[in-house]
This record gives sequence, C-alpha cells and structure tokens, in this order.
Amino acid sequence: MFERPPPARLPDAPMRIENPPVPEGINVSGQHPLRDFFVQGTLAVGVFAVCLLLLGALAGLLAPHVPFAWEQRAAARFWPQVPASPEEATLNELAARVAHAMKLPADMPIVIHYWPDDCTINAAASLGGHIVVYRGLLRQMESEDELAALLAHEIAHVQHRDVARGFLRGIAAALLLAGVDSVSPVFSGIGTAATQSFSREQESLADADAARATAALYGHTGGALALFSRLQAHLPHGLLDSLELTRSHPDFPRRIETVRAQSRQLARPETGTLTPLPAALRTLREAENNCRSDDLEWE
Amino acid sequence: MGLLIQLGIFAALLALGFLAGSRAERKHYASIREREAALRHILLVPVRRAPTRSPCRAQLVCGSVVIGMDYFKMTVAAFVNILGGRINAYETLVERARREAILRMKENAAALGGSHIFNVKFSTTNLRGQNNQQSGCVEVVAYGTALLPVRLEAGN
Repeated sequence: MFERPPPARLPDAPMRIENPPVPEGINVSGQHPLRDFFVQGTLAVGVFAVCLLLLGALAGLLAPHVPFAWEQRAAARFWPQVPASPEEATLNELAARVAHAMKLPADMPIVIHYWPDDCTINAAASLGGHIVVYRGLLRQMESEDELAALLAHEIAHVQHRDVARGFLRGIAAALLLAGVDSVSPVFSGIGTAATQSFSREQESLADADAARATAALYGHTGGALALFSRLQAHLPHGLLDSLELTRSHPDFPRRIETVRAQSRQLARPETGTLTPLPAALRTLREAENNCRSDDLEWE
Repeated sequence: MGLLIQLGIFAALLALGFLAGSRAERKHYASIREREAALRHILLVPVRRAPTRSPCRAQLVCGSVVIGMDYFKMTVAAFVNILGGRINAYETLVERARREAILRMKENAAALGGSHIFNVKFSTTNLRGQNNQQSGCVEVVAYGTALLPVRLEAGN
C-alpha cells in the first residue's frame, strides 16, 4: 500500500527567489526557416519522386500480366447496354477492320461507344477494350482514313495495355498522395509530371501503330498525317498549354514526324487518295453545331 | 493547366505565409520581451506549496493563448513529417505561446495585487477542426496559485 509522504517542511532560512530575464535561443533553433524549407522540401520531394517512379515502373511491368478478362469484367458494370445507333454501328464496323489490320488478339474485343456531344472534341480508350468517341471529334473528320488513324491510335492503347497501366499508376499515385495531404499541390505536380512523362512515351507508340494501321488499310499514311495536321489548329493557345511538362501527349510536329518515320520505315507514301467517310458519319459534319468552344481535348 | 494554377496558388500562399508570419513573429517577440521586463516583479515559484509562513491569501490565476500557424510553417512541418526530424518551424510558435500564456497569467495576478505565483503548470492543446482535420492552431494554458495580500477586516 502506497503511503503518502509527510509534507515537506519549509526551510527555516528565508528562500531567495529570483526571476531573471528569459534566456533566448535555448528552446528555439537558430536555423533560418527558408534553409529548413529548402532542405526538408528537397528531401521529401526527392523521396516522393523516387517512390512514384519506382511504383510507376512496377505498375508498367505488372499491367501486361493482368488478364484482359479482369479488365472486361471490371468495365462491364460501367457501360450501359443500349441499342447501337447507326453512327455507333458504323464506327464498330470500321474499328473491326482496323483491329484486324493491327492483328489485335481475338480475346481483346473492341467496343466503340458514340457520345453525341458536340462540345467535347475527344476520344478515349477505357478499361476492357471500350473506346468512347465524341461527336465533337467526329465532326472534325474529313475522310475515313483519318477516322481509321484515330481509332487505330485508341486501339493501340488497348493492345499495349496502356489503360491497365494508367489505372495501376493512378492507384499507386493516389496511395502515395493520401499520406501527404497537406502539401498535395507540390506532390500532385510531381505525380502529374511523372505520369505525363510515362503517358507521352505511350502516346508515341500508339501514334506509330496508328500510322502502320492506316498504311496497311489504305496503302499510305496520308490519313494519319491529315488528322494530326488539322487537329493541331484546335489546340488551346495559352502560354502554359505549350509547356511539355504539363502535357500528356507529345506536341503535334513531333507526332507528325513519328508518322513520317513510319512511312519511311514501311516504304509507304505519305500521300494518297483519301477514302470518303461512311454515309452515317458524313451527315454529322453538316448538322448544326451549337457549341461555342472548339478547343481540342483529344490529341 | 489546372495543376499549374494550383501550384501558383500554393507558391503565393507560401510566400504570403512566410512574409506575414515572420513579421507577426518579430512583432510578437518584441511585445513579449517588453512585457516580460515590465512584469518581472511578479515571481514564479516552482514549488507546490507557498514558500512563506506569513499570513496570506491564495487564488488561482491563469493565462491562455491560441496561436495559429502560417502556411509556410505548416508546409515545412508537413515536409519534415514525411521523413521525421526536428520541426524547427514549430519551436518558435510553441515558445511564443508558452511565454505569452505566462505573461497573461502574470497580468491576471498583477490585477489582483499578487506578488508571487507558485505551483505553475502548463497545458497544451492542438486544436482540431471538423472531421478531426488539423486547423493549425496551438493553445497553451498556464495556471498557478497567486499569493495575495491579506485583506484587513474592519476592527482588526
């Protein structure tokens, strides 16, 4: 049992009590805050960037080994089962021809979804071989060759498993970012720069495949060249838009050069007779467009 | 584009936090030093019981302060929190809060006519906002027992 000690007796001699001035600099480091910021910031950002690059590379290695059937199962719940419109049926018929020219494996079926939105000039490959094409972008097409080049580019992303790769990288980046919430703009910036760098490599490979597919289908790469040359005019012209670090795609002159390099390699001409658009899509160009913006989102 | 705007806002907040935070800190330290000199006659005694046998009255006195962190300090702390280490940016913040709380406690004692404060203790709280999010505020409370002169009753 704890026994409480008796209270201490005060000394008989009077205690001398002093309160000297509070000494400065004992409890506070003399290091300049800016030096602290740069040293700690560089260390933290460096470690984060290395982790992100390692995880990104790991995701890139793992993605091709994820069974495509898993992607299809995951994607099935997101896409509505609606009857195909005439435009969608035409797009799927052309995509089947392009996929055949690209020697896409039979267990990688491509499904094109037509999105009737004039204000979005875009197309994107998604999980499980689903590709969405917006009417805004279809309205820009002047020939079947160009449309085939566009579809080939997106199909190449499915074939290279870029969608699964991007998905895994996104998860890795989100997990890392969750731990550094308070300085998220800095780390988001690094994450985006790293992801865009991975993305630019993938886009160049998809462009090369698109050039090969159009050459195989039409005997020349004129469609891919026409697509990139004309869409270049629709790019946003802001100062920051031209910074490569912020872009997910290489710039258009470089993409045009990729197509030309493929032409030379395949010994196919860069020009030739362009095939007219299928009838179901030709009317889209003539329909009234109520959208003010014509900024390109697809690249 | 959106990301660059975010980074620009981040850099602007950082610069504002550093400049405004440093200025506020310099001014606060100057005020603390001046008031500490003025209140040095009130003695703090680090024992539990009053070191006197003279008749006296005792009363609880306290001083509390809440100080917010600037964006710059929070950012540096967030960087350090990733790898660990000494957070120098917070040391000045906590020191100012502690000295300010003592000063307010002394001002409380001075208003009551006290000359000594014994059994001084501190309490520190990290204030949190909704959803347990850090709001970037620290509260320090200093409290103790002030020795006050005995009131002479009429007829004594």
